[in-house]
Amino acid sequence: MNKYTDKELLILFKDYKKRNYAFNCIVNLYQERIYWHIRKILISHEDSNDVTQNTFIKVFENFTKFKGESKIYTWIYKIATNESLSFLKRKKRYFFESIDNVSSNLINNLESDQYFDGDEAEKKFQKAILTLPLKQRIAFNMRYFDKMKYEQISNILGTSVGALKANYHHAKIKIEIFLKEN
Amino acid sequence: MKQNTEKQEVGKRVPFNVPDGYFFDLKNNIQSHTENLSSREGFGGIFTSKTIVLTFVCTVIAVISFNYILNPNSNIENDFINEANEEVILFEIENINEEIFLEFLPQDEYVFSDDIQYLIENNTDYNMIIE
Repeated sequence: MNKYTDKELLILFKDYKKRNYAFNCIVNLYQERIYWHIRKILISHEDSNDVTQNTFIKVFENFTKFKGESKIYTWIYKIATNESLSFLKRKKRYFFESIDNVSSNLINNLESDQYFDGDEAEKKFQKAILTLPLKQRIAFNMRYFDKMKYEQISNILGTSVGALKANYHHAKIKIEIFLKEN
Repeated sequence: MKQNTEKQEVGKRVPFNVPDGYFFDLKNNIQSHTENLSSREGFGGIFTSKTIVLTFVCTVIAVISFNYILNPNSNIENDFINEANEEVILFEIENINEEIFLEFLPQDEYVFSDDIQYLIENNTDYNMIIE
């Protein structure tokens, strides 16, 4: 249960003596949700672990600059998404390789991941999602699995609500086609 | 109806798992990283080993550069200049006009006879002086 509002957490954090306590509250509140968001992008547990830690370190380093224009959760989600995208960019095998290509290669991770515990249907569904362009995939995950509102997703990804709705609709159609063909 | 709801929940389940106790470890790892960051902040953070080494190297470079600017001539150059000066002096001595040379001789060391002294004082052609 969250004892503190976003504003109270920010005030606590700015007090040097209470900073660690405030930050621990933030980690307790959001670490699981942020981890799963990253995990759905990167698939691999090890990679997700690294990126989650980097995300929270960035949150710690930049929290005093947080202006409170959005919710803390939205702000952390944005950092996590950017960190995941940066991670995938660094995985490019060569300069001109597209990040969508890197993302679709994660299907191989899915096959060998010891921390995947779905059945064949779920595996096929995840593979279908991995065929989507990266940003469309992220938006789909946030809407379908995290049940986020389009306005929240729009704040995080910087895409308009209309574009997101269209993207989600197209993503569903592509996934259906993939599942039927496979 | 209830079965349909359950099916929907299963359909939206993320089919990944994590090692046992993972989130506890994750929290501890994050906290240990950020506590290190905290201890490096503030005035004490200035004196990290990196900044000390960097400051030392910059100081050494600055001292060497300053010394070079103040004393541009090296020992080698000084020797060269001294040698050149000696050569000039030798050249001057060899080619010195006798008249000038005699002028600068200490008077006590060279005493002319009265006749020669007379000739000198009256600017007589020195060839006339019989040695």
